[in-house]
Amino acid sequence: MNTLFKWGAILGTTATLVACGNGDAEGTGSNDSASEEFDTSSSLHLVTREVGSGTRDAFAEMINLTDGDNDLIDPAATAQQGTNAVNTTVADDQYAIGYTSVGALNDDIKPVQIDGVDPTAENILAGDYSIARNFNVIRGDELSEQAQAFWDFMFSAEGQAVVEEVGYIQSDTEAPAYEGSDLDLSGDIDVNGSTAVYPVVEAMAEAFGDIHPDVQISVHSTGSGAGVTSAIDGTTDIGMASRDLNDDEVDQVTEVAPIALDGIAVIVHPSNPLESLTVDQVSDIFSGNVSTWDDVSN
Amino acid sequence: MGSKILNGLVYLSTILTFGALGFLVLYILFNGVQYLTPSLFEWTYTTQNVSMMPALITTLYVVLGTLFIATPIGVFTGFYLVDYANRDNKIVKAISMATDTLAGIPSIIYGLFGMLFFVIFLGLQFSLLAGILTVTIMTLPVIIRATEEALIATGMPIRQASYALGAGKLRTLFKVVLPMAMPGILSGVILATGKVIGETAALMFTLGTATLLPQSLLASGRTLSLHMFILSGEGHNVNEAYATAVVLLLFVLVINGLSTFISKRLSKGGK
Amino acid sequence: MNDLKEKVAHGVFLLAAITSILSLVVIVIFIFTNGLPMMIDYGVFDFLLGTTWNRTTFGILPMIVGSIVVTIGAVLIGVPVGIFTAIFMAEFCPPSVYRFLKPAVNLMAGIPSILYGFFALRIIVPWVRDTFGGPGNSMLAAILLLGIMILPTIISLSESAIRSVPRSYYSGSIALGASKERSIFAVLVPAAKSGIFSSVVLGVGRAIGETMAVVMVAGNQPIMPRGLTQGVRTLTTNIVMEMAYASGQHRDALVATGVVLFVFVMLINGIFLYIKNKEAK
Repeated sequence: MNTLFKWGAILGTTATLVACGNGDAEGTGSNDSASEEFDTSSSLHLVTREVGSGTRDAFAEMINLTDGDNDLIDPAATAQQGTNAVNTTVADDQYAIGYTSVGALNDDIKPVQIDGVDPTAENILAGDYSIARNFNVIRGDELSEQAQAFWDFMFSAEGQAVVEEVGYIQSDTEAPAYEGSDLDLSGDIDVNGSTAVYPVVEAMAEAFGDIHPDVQISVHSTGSGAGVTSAIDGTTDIGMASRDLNDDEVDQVTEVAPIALDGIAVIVHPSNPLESLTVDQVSDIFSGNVSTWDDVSN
Repeated sequence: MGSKILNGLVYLSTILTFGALGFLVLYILFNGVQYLTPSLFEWTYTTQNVSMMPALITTLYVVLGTLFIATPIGVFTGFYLVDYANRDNKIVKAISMATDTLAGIPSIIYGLFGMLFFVIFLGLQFSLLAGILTVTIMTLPVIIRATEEALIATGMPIRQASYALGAGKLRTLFKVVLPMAMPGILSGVILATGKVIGETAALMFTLGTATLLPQSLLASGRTLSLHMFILSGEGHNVNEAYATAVVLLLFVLVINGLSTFISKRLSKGGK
Repeated sequence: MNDLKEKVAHGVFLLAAITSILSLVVIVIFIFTNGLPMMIDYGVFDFLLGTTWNRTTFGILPMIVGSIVVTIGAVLIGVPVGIFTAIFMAEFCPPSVYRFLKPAVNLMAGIPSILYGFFALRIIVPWVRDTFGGPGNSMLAAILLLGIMILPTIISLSESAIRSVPRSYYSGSIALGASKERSIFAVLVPAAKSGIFSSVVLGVGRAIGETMAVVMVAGNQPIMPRGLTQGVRTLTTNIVMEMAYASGQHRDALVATGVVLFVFVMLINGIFLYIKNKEAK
């Protein structure tokens, strides 16, 4: 009898915990919390990418927070690994502010206007949205036949069509058609680098695989720094970087070219009333000079 | 001091411990099972289907590869320690110490080492081979310890009986001792399997994270755990991450069930 | 003939046995030769006591402190809960329940850290944020997570330590008129203390070495810990966050972080082996 009781207690507690837990999970994942009152006296929760991320480097440079090799983004900001880890963190936390690739925006996060301009494809292409960068691919050495074909494919009309499909902006809207369809290719191609560029190249690799089923393309999402380094030292065929290369890096690679354009959107929780920021404000916020949301509204 | 308080603490702690475990298991099952769709098990991974099939098969490759190398080395080490070496031998002490130390090294250090040694120094790049060799070293202590305990548990009399009948050391070991110790060794191997399936940090920088099914020992891939880590970091595919978690959890449940089953049989039939 | 076979077998087994030693030696050599020169080059004190970590400045004091604080926190939570649970399993638990609890503890030990991390990310982080404020990805979240993760280690080792105390201790105490609780807490547990202590040491080892689960919930800021609800970076997460892209001195600095972690783990292992040997005598 006693035993039964003990088991009952354990199971009962577990069930209660699970029930509560589910309630929590639903509350944080969806937009339920959007209806909650936004308390502007709360402190800002800065969310940033890890050091070495191309998005971070490009962002820091465009909001003028660079200092030699390092950036001036507040080291106290929560550092998340990967584009989407930032999205999730901001979607879950009412008082968070972060930045992410425009192509990776979704309904759980709210992009803020920069100097009154929305981060949309048209505005980025027109040059009106100021925080935009190239998605670059890099080659170090001589490419194998199949890697060369993939390289050409990325800059062809077919490849550029993929860019649009996955929600980014084509670097070349008048690209020539892909000419290698008749080639009989096989072998491996290794692509490595930026987590932001990764979805674009991954989708291109799939389209390429439809044409050349015998070619195996492994795409690794590691970070822009890794992409540049491994293209230079030859550990990968093609590197990906979501920032422009510095002069020192350009000297060491054979070719670097943009496959797509992307804006970086400053994102907040959907319940946040904030609509627009100036670049200077963004710079202030991410250097850690603003402590509460009250200070932002002014 | 009030024994009631102590009593209460004992029960409270027990409920907390198993409550946390039950919560975790049920939470993952509740949230994941509904997303286990057939498209998650398609042969090739695409950014649309986020299939875990290549990861599942890669996991199998890594497990088999690791066991293929680690089992003989681990079991032979057990043989040496129990039946061939003098217990007070300096080498035995050193081996024991090395095994204990290896068991205590965190997996991130293995990852770091694997990258420095296998990936860069030996030039294997991110590959199945580099991943397998790294986790082989990690799982060695598990198999060695299990073999050692199983061999010791068989006891001296059975060996002496076999020697008395004229069997040599090797023959005694393989024909008499090993069959008796088999369940114990097997449960060590199963534990090692569990360890490989759950490993992330050591494989991230050795196996790499390619979404393709590796076509050779020198190709990169990702195991289910790595796949899960990458999915859960990406906000896009949270549902798929839950579903992957369910599959991972099922693996762990099966493996634990197996090892419990075997050790039960061991305690019943072994002696 | 047989003699030769025996000799060959002996040789093969010895060779296999030496693999462990060899592996350990190679690991130590590669980690230390890649990490130590950087440390010396950069200045050991600047490296160990520096409080700034970025692409060009490598001070890992924040991570050392982070690792220590998080581990202590995890021990404060995990050790009492674990030991009390072990007492329940060894002394209070009827066999019919034990049949389920023992595999449950094994299961807990077998659950991959990635699942713990995912669970913590979805449950503990939002809970910390809603209850205590702050960003949620915090030291407290990491402590709670690790507190749970070290439970199976502490429970199973403490349980076997308590069980290995001769039964006569307990019956003697009962015969002298002590209550069951008193006999357990005043006699059995003190008698098992070295075993329990070694379970704690192993738990510390697990907590300080955990990586993938912690990186998901800790916030990972490379600055000195500022409080329970603020983020923290540990030695392990420092490596895993930046290893992918690091090169040159930066990579060496991460390996050097590994060296420091390694030394910590060796100290913990040393303590564990010391207790184990003392017990054996």
